[in-house]
Amino acid sequence: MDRIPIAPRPNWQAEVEGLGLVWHTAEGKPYWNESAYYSFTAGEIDEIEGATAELQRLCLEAGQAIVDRNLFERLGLPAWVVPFVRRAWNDEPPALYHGRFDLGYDGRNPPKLFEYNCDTPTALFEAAVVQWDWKEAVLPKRDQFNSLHEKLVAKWRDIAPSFLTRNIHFTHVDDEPGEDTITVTYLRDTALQAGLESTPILIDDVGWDSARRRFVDLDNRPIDVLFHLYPWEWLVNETFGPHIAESYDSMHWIEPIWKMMWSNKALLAILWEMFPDHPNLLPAFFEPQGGDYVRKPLLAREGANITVVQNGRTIAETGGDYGEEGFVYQQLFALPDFDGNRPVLGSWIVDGEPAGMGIREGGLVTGNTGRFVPHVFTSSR
Amino acid sequence: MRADAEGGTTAVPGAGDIIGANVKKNPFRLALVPAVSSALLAFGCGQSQPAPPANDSANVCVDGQGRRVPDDRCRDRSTFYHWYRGSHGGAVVPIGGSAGGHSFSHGSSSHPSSVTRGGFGSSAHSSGAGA
Repeated sequence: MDRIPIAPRPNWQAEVEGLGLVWHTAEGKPYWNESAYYSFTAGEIDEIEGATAELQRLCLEAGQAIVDRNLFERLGLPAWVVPFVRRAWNDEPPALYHGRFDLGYDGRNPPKLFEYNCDTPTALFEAAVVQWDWKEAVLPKRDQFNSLHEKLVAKWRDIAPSFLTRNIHFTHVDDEPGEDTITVTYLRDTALQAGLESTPILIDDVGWDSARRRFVDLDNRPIDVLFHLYPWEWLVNETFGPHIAESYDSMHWIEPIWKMMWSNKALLAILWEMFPDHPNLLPAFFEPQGGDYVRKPLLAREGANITVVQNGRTIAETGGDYGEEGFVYQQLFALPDFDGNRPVLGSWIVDGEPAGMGIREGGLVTGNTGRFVPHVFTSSR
Repeated sequence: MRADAEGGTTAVPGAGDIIGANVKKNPFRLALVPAVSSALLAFGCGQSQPAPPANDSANVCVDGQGRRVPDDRCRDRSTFYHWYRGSHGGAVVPIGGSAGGHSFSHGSSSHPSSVTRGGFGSSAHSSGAGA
């Protein structure tokens, strides 16, 4: 694993904008950073891919344990949600079953899990499309751990016959940077390539028809299948939350409600309880155990409300509105430092299988200001 | 393309059966992303949109699908809604109707009294909802 500086393409902004990456610059600094790339050996990619598959296996076991041992209280879920989480877990409704493991990796030791973003993962479009396009333009003879696009299209094609409709509704926030809008639009494109149709609708515009007891779109058509880039913990706690229960039998949600188990940081402590000393896990607990650790809210997004404690002293802290539900305490992992650049690997799952990787760099905490840096690997062994 | 552990590779993602220049320009065959991203860029990626001329009734506020929505939405900071300028054949485009071209379809020109909106979205941040 190495970080290699390289001259950005002179017109890189136009190149990535042309693909759709309109949020390439944040606060005057490139979010899409092609002034360097990460280079891996095939063996390292195999290790990352293997760890990703293994972590997915562990999460499946942990999910089953939460259901079987009724550990929902640890997740801080509203009581009314639990029967639906149980039901969805057992039914395995059609969905993409995609997500992004955030991993620490230094090229020498096994990858370690930081968290699993599997409810509303972003950084997908840049991983699937933009970094591939960069590789083809700049390093066409190198390879890249990236089968995201094909796997997404294949999964839509796989689940399409399960629905009574060809039309999938896609909802998201009207976000200022455009990241959510484009991420969802990209997923609509993958559905389109699988022969489906799509209707976009902002989350605020989703209607509730009390007469039909159905969620409806702006044309007041019932929504049969809804892809939501909007977290389950928000959905269930908002005004329309209880209507999810009322209409559950007449609507498919992608991703399903059981993802509330895996997108919750309590998963990290449960995993460590079940698989202590596993090479791909960091020690994680519901109470501080001493030593150097990172305190993470059970429910948080984009690196918010994270506290990093080293030698008993807080060395980094991020703001935010999270933490009401409680915290987990995860052993601090020393990210590799490439001249002040600290990469976090985002290893993707689609349909439960490893599907590619994107890398973001940040400081001690990688939040939504992290920079996306492309990667390649050498095929020969 | 990352292949299996044996090191084989696959073709350009999504290239499928397309050939020639299109492969280079759009190997993923994306139909929607270019249009939406162009609209985002054209409307400043969420910067406040200028109000249309006050006396120009031909401007209507539309959503990402070109359907008319209340004008207030274009006056807010929004990436999803934008002003659409057109003659609409001299007709008034109803809320929910399409503003595209010179004709429009009536989706549902008025909301049934049983439909309410706005019950989702209150937790959202302007930076988005992804993780």
